Amino acid sequence: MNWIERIKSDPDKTLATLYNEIQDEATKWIKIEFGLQSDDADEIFQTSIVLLYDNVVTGKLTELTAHIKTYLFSIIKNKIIHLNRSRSKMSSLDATEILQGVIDEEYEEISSEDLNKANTALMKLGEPCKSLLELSYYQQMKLDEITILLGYKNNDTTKNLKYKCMKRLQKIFFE
Amino acid sequence: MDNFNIENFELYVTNAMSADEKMVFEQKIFDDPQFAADFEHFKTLKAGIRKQSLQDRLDILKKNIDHKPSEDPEPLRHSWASYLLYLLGLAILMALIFYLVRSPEKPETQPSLPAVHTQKQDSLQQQDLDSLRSDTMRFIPQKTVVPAVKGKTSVSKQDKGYADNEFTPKNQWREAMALYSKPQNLASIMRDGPSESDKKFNDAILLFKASKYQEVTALIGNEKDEKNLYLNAHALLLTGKTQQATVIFRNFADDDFSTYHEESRWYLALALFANYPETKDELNSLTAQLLTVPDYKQKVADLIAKMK
Repeated sequence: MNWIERIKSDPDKTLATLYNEIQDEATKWIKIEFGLQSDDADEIFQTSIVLLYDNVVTGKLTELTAHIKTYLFSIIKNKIIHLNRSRSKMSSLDATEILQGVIDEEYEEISSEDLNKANTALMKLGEPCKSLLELSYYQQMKLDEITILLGYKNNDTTKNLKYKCMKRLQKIFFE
Repeated sequence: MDNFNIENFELYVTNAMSADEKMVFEQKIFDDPQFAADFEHFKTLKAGIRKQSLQDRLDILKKNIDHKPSEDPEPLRHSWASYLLYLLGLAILMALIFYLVRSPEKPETQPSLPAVHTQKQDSLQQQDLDSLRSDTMRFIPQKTVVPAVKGKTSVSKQDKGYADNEFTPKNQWREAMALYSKPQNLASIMRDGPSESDKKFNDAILLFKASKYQEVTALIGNEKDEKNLYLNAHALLLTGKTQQATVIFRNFADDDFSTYHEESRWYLALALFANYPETKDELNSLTAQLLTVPDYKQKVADLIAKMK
């Protein structure tokens, strides 16, 4: 199984494996090439791993033409160049903040406030709605796959629940 | 945002509409401000779902990875501070050892209690424990087995906790359980970084499948998330704690948004039936509603037959 298939089938385990395999080399390279401290290099590296996952899930990366390390290093490089333009040299880096910044920039038309509200609403929504919506709207999983994975009765049940969950999420969003 | 709109929004954002459908959709966005606003909300919520998913992935990654100590040299002031702290600690330790070695043994200021007093107390405590045990034993029934329900569920009174004062009358509960079958909708996703509540739920499912219902309640009885509450309601129902089960199932049945809304109405009917005829009014109203649901029509008919 190649890396893309592994990321799709067992993301959390694969991302941790990838991190552990490349971390030393990647952080050394970041420190030498971009003059960052170890902690900052590690935060950038973690963010890049999650962005790699995002590229696989959203279909931006469907096939690797080079080694995965090369692809990952290009994400790191782009991210650091982008960050160097916007941040103060003195401030330390945090993976969560970098990741939020990436998403906020990508959805320019949506205000950060609304995006955060949607985030909070999703947390309040809880399970199983949270997983159901993530599988459907982020991972683009088909109804029959979700039905099997979550053990629902049939596709109609899953579809109805998904709509209910979406309406519930909207309700919480406006509270 | 209604179901029809959500379906159309999905088709549009995934580029699954034909050119004509796309044109109609875009025209509607232009003509109908409410539709346009709903579409904006849909996109915001979808973006929020993606953002949260990535955040979850990062959190799990942080948990899963081997944390290595930073290789950067520590600032000089930190080394000096540590050195001073070591020295201070060492000095305190030396002073303590010196004090202990030099100070003479002090006589005990508080004489120990006479042995006879202690024995008396022990005997009193023993008596209390014995009486407590005998009081408690009165409430613990001898192990008797309630017959299996249509081959699906076998409930032993002692193992399953049946026979507490709060429990429902035995025969009525048994009648209700004859119509019971385990729910289908209990699967969950196990990830590398599941929450404590998820882990408990998965363990509880295994216990539930092994018919260890009391242990299910012991494990997840305090959990407040939907799936644990739902599973616990089943465990309570199966151990005869029908009133507690009724409260939980009723909450789900009243909540139209709940994942377990539909199924809970049927299990609520069973829990109510276990306390029939006190619950007659609510049960009549519920069975009338359930008769209109094809999936439950036959089951409800059987239940009504038993009510007569």
